[in-house]
Amino acid sequence: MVGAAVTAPADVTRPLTVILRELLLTRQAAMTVVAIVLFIFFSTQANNFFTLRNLLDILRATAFIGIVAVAWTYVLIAGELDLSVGSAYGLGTILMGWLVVSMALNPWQAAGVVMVYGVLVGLVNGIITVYIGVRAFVVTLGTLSFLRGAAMALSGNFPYSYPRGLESSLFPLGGGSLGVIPAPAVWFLAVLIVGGIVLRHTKFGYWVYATGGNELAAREMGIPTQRIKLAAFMIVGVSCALIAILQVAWLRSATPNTGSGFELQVIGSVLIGGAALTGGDGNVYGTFIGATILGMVTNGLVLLGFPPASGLLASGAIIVVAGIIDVILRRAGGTVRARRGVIDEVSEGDSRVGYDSISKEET
Amino acid sequence: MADVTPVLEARGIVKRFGGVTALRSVDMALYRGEIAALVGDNGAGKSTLLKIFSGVYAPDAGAIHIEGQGARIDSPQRAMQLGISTVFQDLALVNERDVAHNMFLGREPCRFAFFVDRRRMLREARETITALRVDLPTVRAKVEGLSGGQRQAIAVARAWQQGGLITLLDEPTAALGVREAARVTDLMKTLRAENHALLLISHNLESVFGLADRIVVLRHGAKIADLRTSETSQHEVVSLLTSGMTSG
Repeated sequence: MVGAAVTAPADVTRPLTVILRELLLTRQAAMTVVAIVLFIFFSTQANNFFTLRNLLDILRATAFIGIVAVAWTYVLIAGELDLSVGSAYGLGTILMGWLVVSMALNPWQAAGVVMVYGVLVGLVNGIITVYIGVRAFVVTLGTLSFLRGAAMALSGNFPYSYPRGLESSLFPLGGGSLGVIPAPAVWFLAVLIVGGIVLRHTKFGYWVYATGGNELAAREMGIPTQRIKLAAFMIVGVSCALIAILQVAWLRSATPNTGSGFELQVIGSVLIGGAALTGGDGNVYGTFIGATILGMVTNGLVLLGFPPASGLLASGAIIVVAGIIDVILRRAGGTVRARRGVIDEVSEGDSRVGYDSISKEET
Repeated sequence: MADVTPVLEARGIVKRFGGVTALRSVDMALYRGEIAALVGDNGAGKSTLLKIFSGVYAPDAGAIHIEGQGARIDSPQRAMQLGISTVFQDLALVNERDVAHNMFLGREPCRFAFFVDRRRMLREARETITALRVDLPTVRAKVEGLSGGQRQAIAVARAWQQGGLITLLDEPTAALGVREAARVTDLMKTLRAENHALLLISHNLESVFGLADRIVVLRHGAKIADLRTSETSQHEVVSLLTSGMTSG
């Protein structure tokens, strides 16, 4: 009978061929191929795409989106959403401007305050969604509007500029570089590594997947799903604060409509990377590839001579195509599973015909 | 054979939901090495009583003793600590996760404080599956790809693995075909043989008579009978749960 013959060690360690095959049939693998193809395409077709300066620009832009996208991955996997990231980012930059220019704080102090602000934004979004029970879509739509309004009100709709002579050891953290790598990209790398490891290998990460996969089941097994979701919202809030600080450290100025449309790029990155909109599935690597694809496309199309809006068009198209690829892969994955005999109960007596009896023959 | 002293004893359990009294002063005991079945018509209070034992509900009145000690089962977590495992009707499985994680849901083994020890999880899940002779090619399979019987078996295996004294099962074979149901009942018999106390809720009197040592009948929130299976009949039980009287 199926199952009796499988040896125990095969479950714990597996042959490389099995691991590779399973890895390659994923959305993330498909998207990696897409990213490589796009890279080659733009490098060969667009002038100045494959120059150090341009690649570093792409890297920097992708880093800002990517840092928040990694955090957003946690929220989506946990089964929630946060539409307010662009506004949280924008208000964060305005706060950095206001605190230094109007309140005479030094940049480090301002950064500290903005970090706390980030936690608070996450807390508010989280508490209203998780504990009061308003849908995340509604809550974060509200905060999206509220925070943007706050940014405009606080700044009087004027930009802030740091005084010319102002120096601070904070500035290189956003504007400096490690060798040729711009600082934001270094931060992005750190966030990718830490975020990836925590999500995949820690108990907290496992609980995020469980909470999003089946909240009732998780709760029945004693997982504090509400706290998990709240933590995810707070992680997103902090990530927005972080990029706000890095941005102002780099540019030494802040404008009230920073971050408009940013949420689309963040969400796009996460979805292209293969995270399920319904929660319970996805990973940080996928988000990284998604952000990279969006970054390259936005940049590359401009270099090819298309109007800047094409970036938006292309991003939209890629998100939909990625969704279609997802459906195709899910169906292919289902067939592979059936062949491996995981769906048993096919034999002797159970009343399921057709599909299952076919898979039985192939085992 | 069942032990003489109960592993769980509940006295005077009352539960109300708003204006409705779901349980009226129910007394009940569970013994190690015994399978008890809780039967009753819809609305009799079976699920409510089971949920009180599994920590999902708190009783409005009454006392519970586990192994002679007074206990307050405040939460599912607390129930597990007290040695009570529950196989919920919805099975409490996360489809997108593999069997190994599902077997350790909420109590994932860790190394270095918070890093999940995946190797240990895989190994122990595989050992449990093998020991209970559950038909599963790999514990790396995502639960969503498994049949109803396999899923149920995993939920019961998880309860066994939790290593407690008492296992509660809410309609464990309701949605299963004959062969699959037989596998699950085999698992329950294995648990009984290992001196667990089991309490199951079931609508299916035929399977109850084939499996349970004792039958407790609830009707409109009250316990009206507590019978050894060998001393009663399906006919009598049906009579009790519909009309409250024996063979009328």
